[in-house]
Amino acid sequence: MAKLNGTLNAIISGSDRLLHIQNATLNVNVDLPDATTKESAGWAEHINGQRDWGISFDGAYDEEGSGMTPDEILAIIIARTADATIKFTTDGATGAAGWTGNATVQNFSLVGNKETTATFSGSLKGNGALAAIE
Amino acid sequence: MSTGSVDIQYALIDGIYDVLHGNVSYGGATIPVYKSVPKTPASLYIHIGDVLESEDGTKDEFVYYGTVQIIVVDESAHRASRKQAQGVLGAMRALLKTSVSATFTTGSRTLIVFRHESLVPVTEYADNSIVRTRLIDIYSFIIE
Repeated sequence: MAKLNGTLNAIISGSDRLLHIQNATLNVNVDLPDATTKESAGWAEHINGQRDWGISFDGAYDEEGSGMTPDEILAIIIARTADATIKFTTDGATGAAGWTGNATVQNFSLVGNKETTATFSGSLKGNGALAAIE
Repeated sequence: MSTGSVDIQYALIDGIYDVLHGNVSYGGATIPVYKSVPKTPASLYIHIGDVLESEDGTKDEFVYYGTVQIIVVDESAHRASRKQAQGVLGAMRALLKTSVSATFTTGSRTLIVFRHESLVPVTEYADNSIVRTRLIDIYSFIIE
């Protein structure tokens, strides 16, 4: 299998790609509740519990571009906009490969330090199942 | 915004040259500014030196950052005095940074940040027992 260039990992909200991102991370978790008993012969056992997922991202702030700009991500929080269909792709803006689910923008930070490029970061929290794009 | 990877070094050198050329005055004289030092340079001049840069863009555009050296050279005296070179350096910095957040024009590229980083002073003997003082002023930049 060929290695994947991380630039191709894009986040798409509806039909708009999140712009000016430098790093994008998909996090998927499952709770593993303890199921150890006195019959476990001293070895820890667990069952598979609740799953959750989310996406975090950061980039260089720029208000321009055709897609979803950092300003528009912030507007989603201010307006308390409902879930959107989110894709975490492995093929750039095409969106034909990767994972998808409903998610909500949970936080957004904009950082402007003296004489450096302004940066932004944020995260999306999955609302329901995450599924592979077939 | 750069959609293709480009060379930004010469745009930066040209931009610095445009700011300084004919504008650096010290002791009633205009100090010459060189992009490359001629065979017989003036005894007191400014040389725009090496640019070291890396590409550090986003997933949508190329961004370049690095450092550039601007060197004040004084080989006009037989004694190791930095006073004259420091005076020229002060005049030069005032032109390059007219305010804290100021940047200048760099051709078709956008200079986002131009910031003074450090100063390296060098004093050495030149020909005919002349003392050459070089004040290597290092600036960091971010260009898109």
